[in-house]
Amino acid sequence: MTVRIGLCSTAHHHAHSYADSLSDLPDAELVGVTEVGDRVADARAAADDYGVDYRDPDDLFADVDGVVVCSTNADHLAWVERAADAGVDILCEKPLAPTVAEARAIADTCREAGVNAGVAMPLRFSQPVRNAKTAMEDGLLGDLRFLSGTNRGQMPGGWFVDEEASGGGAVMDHSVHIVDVVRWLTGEDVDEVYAETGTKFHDIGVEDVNFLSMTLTDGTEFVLDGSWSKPDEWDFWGDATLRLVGSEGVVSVDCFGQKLKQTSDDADPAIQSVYWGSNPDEGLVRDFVDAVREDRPPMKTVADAVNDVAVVEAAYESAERTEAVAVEHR
Amino acid sequence: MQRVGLVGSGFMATTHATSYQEIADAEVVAVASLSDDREAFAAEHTPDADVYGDAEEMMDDADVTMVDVCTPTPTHRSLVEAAAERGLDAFCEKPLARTVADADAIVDAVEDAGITFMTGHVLRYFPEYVEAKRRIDAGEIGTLGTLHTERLSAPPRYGTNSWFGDKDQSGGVLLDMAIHDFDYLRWVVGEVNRVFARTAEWDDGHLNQHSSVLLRFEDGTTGHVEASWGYPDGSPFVTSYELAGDGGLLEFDARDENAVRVSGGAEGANAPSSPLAKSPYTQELEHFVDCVETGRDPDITPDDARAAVRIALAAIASSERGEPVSPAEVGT
Repeated sequence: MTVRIGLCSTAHHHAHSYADSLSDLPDAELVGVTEVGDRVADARAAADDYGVDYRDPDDLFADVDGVVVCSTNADHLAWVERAADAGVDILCEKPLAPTVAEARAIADTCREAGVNAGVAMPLRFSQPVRNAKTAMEDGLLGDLRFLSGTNRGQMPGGWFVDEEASGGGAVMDHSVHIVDVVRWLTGEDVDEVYAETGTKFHDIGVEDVNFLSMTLTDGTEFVLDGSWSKPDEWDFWGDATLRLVGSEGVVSVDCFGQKLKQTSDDADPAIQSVYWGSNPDEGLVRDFVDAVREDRPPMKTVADAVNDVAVVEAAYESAERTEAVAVEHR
Repeated sequence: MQRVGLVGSGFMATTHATSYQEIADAEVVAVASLSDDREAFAAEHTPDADVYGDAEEMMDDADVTMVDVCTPTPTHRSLVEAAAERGLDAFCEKPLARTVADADAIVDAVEDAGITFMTGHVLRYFPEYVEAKRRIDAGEIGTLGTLHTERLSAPPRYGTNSWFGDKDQSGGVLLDMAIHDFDYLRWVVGEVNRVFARTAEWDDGHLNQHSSVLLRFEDGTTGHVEASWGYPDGSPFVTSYELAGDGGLLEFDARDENAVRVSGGAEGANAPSSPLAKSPYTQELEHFVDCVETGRDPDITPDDARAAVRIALAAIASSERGEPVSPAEVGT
């Protein structure tokens, strides 16, 4: 059986990588792209790029087994409601929603409609992260004592810096990847968060500084720098790292450290770093396609992602109050 | 020519004794240490020095012009006060003191006595850190945004009676080691408004600690200092920074240095690994000796050293209380 997948919106630039990964799978087909509102022209252009048809939303929903939602954060809920109505499975871009209320609404909608729904957390498929998981399960760390992560990137611009569309800046955009990895590796939730934020790098209306100092539900301490602090001219898009400090050893993961350096006299930029490691998006898309076929939830469910959004919401509250804030999870 | 009375015979005293051998205008003429190994220390590192079991006796009897204090932190106050009472110029290892009260007393003593005094915040003499500050000051990365530093090591397994592992004496990783980065970042940015710290701690026969400190500077810049005494024994000592401004980025990672890489080799053969012709410790002491000789003010003021202690103590308090703490409020 070929699993038929549609793409709802290409507002998020990750859409291109997911489309590439889908086209590499022999047992899946990207059927078409759809969009609403002002971005229809962008979606039509993207569909041309991918060599598929642009379709009206209801037409596409009637013709697919699952959809990947790559809209703005604020539009996730509306797309999920339409997809759930149509009875198709869903892979939603991260963060699941700008607020816990909307994230819960997404999870409830999918549960009530009986569709399988997941969130795009490609780092769960990053081979360095998986190696760390194996090392942990092998007991290499002894007792886990401290976690320190980074997910620093370039400022993405566009709708990411429009609070109406994104829900916020670097805290919204660059917290949940490493938070999810830590929750996945440890089996714990984030219990408390203290945030230092600010707008220091760019003339934008959202924060670009994002430092989170957290504890997990078992008391383990966890700090994360998810700032948009990489210059526009940096030689790569950003980083995703995690250091796991244990009583017996330390494991340091660099998800995108596998880079070669290219210099081209006639190119701009003249020097760039090129990632050659395994592509985590391939595993992510593979898992979703398998989930659709096997009628099971994707590895990272929307229900689970509500607790990631709760961390983000608590971080904003902490920055507002200048004190540590308890994270409400269910 | 300065005639140095060195107090201490441990790791840092050894480092300083080695540096003085390279400094033309200074000579260690006396060593004082409570440790039983003081004669052996002197024989190996300061062969021409007289050896004392009591530092004040050394200050009174030996013909010294300056004192260099390389002893456990809680002893700094009485030793510096003793030097100041005698009008002897003094160099003191970091951290300046274990408490704000001791730091205040030291600052008062050296200012009242008018002696030349400096604390060993040696990071200000490490070229990779000096060069970064020079470029920041020149505006090459624009307005600062986020400053991240790392200082990661195994717990110190040296020190008389394992005093590093006794937080009452050393203050742990935050006061003894992270203070390097606190002083550096304060030097680069300015005063710290508040800190929020997390510290994990465990005991495996030595005190293990891993700390993360978020710093909010008065100008709104944010810093993150990560410091560890939690790495396994034998791990290489690692420092790194990533200093980001709105016009650029400065990155350094000691793991990339690799000045000399050695594979194998004959047993017992010596392979120096530092890429520097002159050690930062020698630079630091050379500067201080020069200040003593010329009467100039040292780079690092007593107030600087006290401010660094306050940041570290605020971080310790924040780790314990789970809330942000202002360096201005500690010790009050």
